[in-house]
Amino acid sequence: MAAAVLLVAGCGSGGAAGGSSGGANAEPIVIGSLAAYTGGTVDLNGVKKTLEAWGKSVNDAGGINGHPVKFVIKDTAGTPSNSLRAVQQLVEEDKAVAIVGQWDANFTTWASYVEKAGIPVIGGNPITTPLNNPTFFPVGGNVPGLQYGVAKEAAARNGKVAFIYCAEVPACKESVKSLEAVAPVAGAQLVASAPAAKSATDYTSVCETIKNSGASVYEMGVSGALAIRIAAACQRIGLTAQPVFIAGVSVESHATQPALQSLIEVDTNAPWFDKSLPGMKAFHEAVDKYAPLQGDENFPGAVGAWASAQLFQKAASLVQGPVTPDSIKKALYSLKDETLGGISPPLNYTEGKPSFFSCFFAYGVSNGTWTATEGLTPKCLPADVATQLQKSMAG
Amino acid sequence: MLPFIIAGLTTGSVYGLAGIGLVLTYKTSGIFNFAHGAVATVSAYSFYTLYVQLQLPWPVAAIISVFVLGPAMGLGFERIARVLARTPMAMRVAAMIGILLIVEGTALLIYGDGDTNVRTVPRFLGTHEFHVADIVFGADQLIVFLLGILATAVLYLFLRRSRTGVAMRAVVDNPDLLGVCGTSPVVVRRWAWMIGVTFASASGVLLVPFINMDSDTLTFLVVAAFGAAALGRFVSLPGAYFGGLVIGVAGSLATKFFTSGALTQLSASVPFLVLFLVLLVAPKRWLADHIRIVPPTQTSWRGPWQVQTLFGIVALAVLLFVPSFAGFRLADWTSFLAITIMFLSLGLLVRTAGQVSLCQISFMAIGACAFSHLAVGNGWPWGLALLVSGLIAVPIGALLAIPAIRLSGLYLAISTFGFGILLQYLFYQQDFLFGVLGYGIDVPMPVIPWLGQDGSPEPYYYLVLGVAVITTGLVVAINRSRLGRLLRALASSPTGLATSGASVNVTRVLVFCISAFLASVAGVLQAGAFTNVTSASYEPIESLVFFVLVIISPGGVPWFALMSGIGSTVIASYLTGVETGYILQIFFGIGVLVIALQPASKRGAPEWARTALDKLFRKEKPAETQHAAVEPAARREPAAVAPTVLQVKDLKVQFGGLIAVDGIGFEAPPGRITGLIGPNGAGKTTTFNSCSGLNRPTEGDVMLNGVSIARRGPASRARSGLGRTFQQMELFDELTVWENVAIGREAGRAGLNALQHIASTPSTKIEVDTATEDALRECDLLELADRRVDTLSTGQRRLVEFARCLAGPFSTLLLDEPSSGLDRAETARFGEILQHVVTTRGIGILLVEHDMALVTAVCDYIYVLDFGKPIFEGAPDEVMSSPLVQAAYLGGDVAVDDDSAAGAVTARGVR
Repeated sequence: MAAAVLLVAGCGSGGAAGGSSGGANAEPIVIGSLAAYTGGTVDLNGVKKTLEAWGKSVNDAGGINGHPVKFVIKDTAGTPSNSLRAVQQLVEEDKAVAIVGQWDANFTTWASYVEKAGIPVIGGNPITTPLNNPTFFPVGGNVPGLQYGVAKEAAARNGKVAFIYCAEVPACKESVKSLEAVAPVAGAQLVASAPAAKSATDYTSVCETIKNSGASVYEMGVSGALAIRIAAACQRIGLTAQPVFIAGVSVESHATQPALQSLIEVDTNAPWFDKSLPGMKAFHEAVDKYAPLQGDENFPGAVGAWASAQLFQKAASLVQGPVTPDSIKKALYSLKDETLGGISPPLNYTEGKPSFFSCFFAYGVSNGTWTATEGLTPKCLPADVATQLQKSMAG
Repeated sequence: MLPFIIAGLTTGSVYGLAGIGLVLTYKTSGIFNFAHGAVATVSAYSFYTLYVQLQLPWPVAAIISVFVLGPAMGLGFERIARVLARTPMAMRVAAMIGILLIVEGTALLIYGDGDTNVRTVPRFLGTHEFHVADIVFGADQLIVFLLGILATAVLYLFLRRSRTGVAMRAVVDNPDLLGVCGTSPVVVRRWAWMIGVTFASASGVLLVPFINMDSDTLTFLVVAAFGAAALGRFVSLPGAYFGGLVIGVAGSLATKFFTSGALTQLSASVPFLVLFLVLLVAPKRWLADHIRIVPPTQTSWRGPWQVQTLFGIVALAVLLFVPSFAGFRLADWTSFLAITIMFLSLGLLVRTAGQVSLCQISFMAIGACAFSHLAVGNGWPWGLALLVSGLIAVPIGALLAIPAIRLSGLYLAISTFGFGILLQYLFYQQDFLFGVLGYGIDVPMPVIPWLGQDGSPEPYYYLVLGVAVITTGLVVAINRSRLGRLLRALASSPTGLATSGASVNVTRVLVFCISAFLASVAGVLQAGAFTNVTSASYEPIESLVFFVLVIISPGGVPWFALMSGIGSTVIASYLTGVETGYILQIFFGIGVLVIALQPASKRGAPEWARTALDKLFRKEKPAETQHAAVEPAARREPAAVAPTVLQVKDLKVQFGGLIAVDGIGFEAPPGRITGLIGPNGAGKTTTFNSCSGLNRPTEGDVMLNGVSIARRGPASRARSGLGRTFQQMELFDELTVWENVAIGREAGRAGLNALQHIASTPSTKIEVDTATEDALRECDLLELADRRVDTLSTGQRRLVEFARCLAGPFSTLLLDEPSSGLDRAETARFGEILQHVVTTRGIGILLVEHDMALVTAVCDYIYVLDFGKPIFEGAPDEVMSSPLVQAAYLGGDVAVDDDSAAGAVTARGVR
């Protein structure tokens, strides 16, 4: 019903100045973030704690170029009018220079506002990132890129993919279209799709639809909690197709669900359980120290949030002089194949153009634990296919 | 196919259980429990706490949650329902929605929302799975299904066989009679509530292992029970259970057959589709509901115009300064102004016309979407796109008027609610509404240089303020115009309006169309404040809150709308915080409940304030005397009307197995008072209703001047010259005496023509005023012209109804017991009036009357009925001396003293 304001301050500064132009009393850099921490469709505690951990770790390490970071995180409670108000407040009242790691399903209500205001939106969830807005700077694959990853999984089996999407949110249904469009590119075909309402008491019929379609892989564009129910219902009727999630649906406990033992996650960033990549090592160290993630707070969204904050930090640290929305954007444009320590696909941004990344990381459950089943290197669409795809999807 | 059916039966069984609880409580108490889902939510969360959090054994948790909590909540509901039984339907609906909001808010506050705080209940009824051929189903599915059948059967037998059960059925038919027989209706209803609410509790507990805990989900699942109840015609318990099964199976099969295309959402829509269709096509007699939907304005008191003007200036001044302090909240303030327009549209529908819409937000969605497609998609100019977006909603408003034509009161409320949810499920996800990419739709602010609009928020705010002010003026004008009078008359008595000559269906369609247009415009303006909207901005549940706000907000136009707007947007903008939101919701729910439970006299401005304001501003001349002060003009003799003869031939009216009227024929020529008499139950009023088109004769004909009017509706017959009064008076209680009487003339002028409903020409106004004044003078009512009729004595009200008849251009008047409630002197005066108007106007009167003194004094010719059949006719003295007539009135062969026949009959037989 109303937005909550959670002030996660950089809590003062962390001792000695670490940069060239700042100091303990330097002007803080204000950034903002927003998500439906309540009233949304997913438990996003892992995202919030990661953003908090990043803020504290940065400030403890002396800030960015000596400037402490003040991170204002807002809860939109899932209401569209709250989203716009939250962003306007961040920009106009808090003077945030960037929106970082947002996960706001109502992003369309403020996308044109931030574009006009020239505020960069860095990282965040791919589902809540438009394909046609140059002020958004994703930290990994866009939805079509991830759908390409799903189709690739199907292509590696019998080439048939099905899709169960959430009945309540229009964007869920739209994902069907992007899967349908990219499937042939990957050598697969969308053979069935069915809506699943969270209020349904039984998913037998949905599962029968998938079973009858002969799909070898079925994507579930629903919340993780609902996905467990659906997978269990599908297992009950003897469905053997492998479930696939994209964009932060999976959580740690999915690995122990009997119905999800063949689960595959296709996501924007490196798997959250990896501790070998340099970027992932830093992530685990920070969250373990400042805001340890519990249970299902361990999920792809936490890494996404970390990557978003890291990208901002990278850009801000390149800024000579005052940190402003413009200087941040300029710094972002100057990046070349940035992977943030291996946790993102190579990132490049072009001024005035929407960013379209068609790379994905894929991993899955094996023997009851999450495993980097397909390695730790992102896979990408061929460049020409990606360009064609971008044109068709961006409308 | 079979797995789909099995899945559907499990869900359907739960719907059925909830439906049964709903029907039971509704039929016994007359209160339709919109909070039925909230009951299920409470029990479900209680079960979760006891079983999952406190780890009690599930049978203990279930017994506490269903059999302790259920009856306890039932007792609470019974107490509330007892108070609500004295309130209009709208207040009952509001109170139930209040409870819904309290429960939902509390659940959210304690447990958080279901998606971001995932809570699940294990399958406590067993996880064993049966494999039969290719089909797999769980033991719990089977148990739920069997429990549903068992509970229905037990309840059915209980109602048939047990004493309390029989009493519950009796309380539906006649609570007073039950009371006379020594069984307290209160106790019986208490039982019904306890059982009904326990059923809802059981459905909640049975549901939780199959879903993720979420108060929204639980509430809406049980809303599906509305559809089940509809299939049980809102009366039959097994019907409701079976209805639940049908809905469950149909929903499940829909997922099998509609896996792509526009109908993929059909499954979730099934309960609401069923609900809407049943209400749309079911025979009217299933759905008879005569309770007024809208609360009558509690008092005739209005703030003095000076105070209202002052408030208006202050409000406008504050609103003009908003951009200087609103900051980033300017969009919310703009949204507030837009939503005020929506509240004005809803107020016109609900407060003025007595209709109901629980789907007003859908029109806002339609407006925003249409506008985006026109202005952004096709590059139309802003103003034109706004206008056309409003017009696009008009036919959909007209569609919603169809249930309003067929239904009244509660069923209209439920059908519009179903309509709103149906729109959401079936259409919100279609590309043509919220766009292809799921990115919502853009609704830009206008760039119109000559209006100072440069596409930025501040000028836009002033533009919306301007539109809001214009809309306020428009709604005030409508309220004061002919349409306003017709709408208020419609709210008070559709029958009275129709029999005065206005085609009430035209009136209804008109108000739904105007309301849809304004709501659609409001939708565009609000969306413009945010520049981009998605379907999440238009949740159907919001419509319930809008309705409640319009019902409970005090004040007239525009005050109730402004207050509702502030309550729904501005407060939420400033009091942020998720928990604050939940707490606000709970307080709002409590407030609604408290207001609904208050006696009507305590709502609105407090007595001391009214007195003080009246003293200050109304010292010299109370407004009440405005018309009364009219100088009595020289007595005009009204123009005689074209004479008509009413003839009824071989009339037979049958209700099911009961023959109410059988073979009646008579003639009421002009210039004569014709009596139609007979003992109670003789069929007099039924005959009147056949004449004025309020019932459908099984056989026979009704003719005016030799032309059959049997196929025409009441309004058309009225326009042909047939006016009438009613035994149970059909006055427009919220209108003044003058306005009531004026409708007698004006309704016929409005007739079938929508344009003539809206406004009248100056010459018609003179005609209406003259006719009204003449009629009032004729009935000695001029002194009371500006009193509201609900403040008058019964005798005065009878005269007002008669005056309304006189004001109309009617050539034959059907008067149904017009002297009842009049004292001896008034009756004598009334008799003189009757004779005078017949002589001077050349009209014919058909008089049903029990006062034999009056009948014999004024009637020229009398027809006598008994048990629906004609038994005698003739001049008054012939009738009075007829042994047949005496026997009919007095029974057997009791002799009547010739000298005082009329008086004796009056004294002993009828009164």
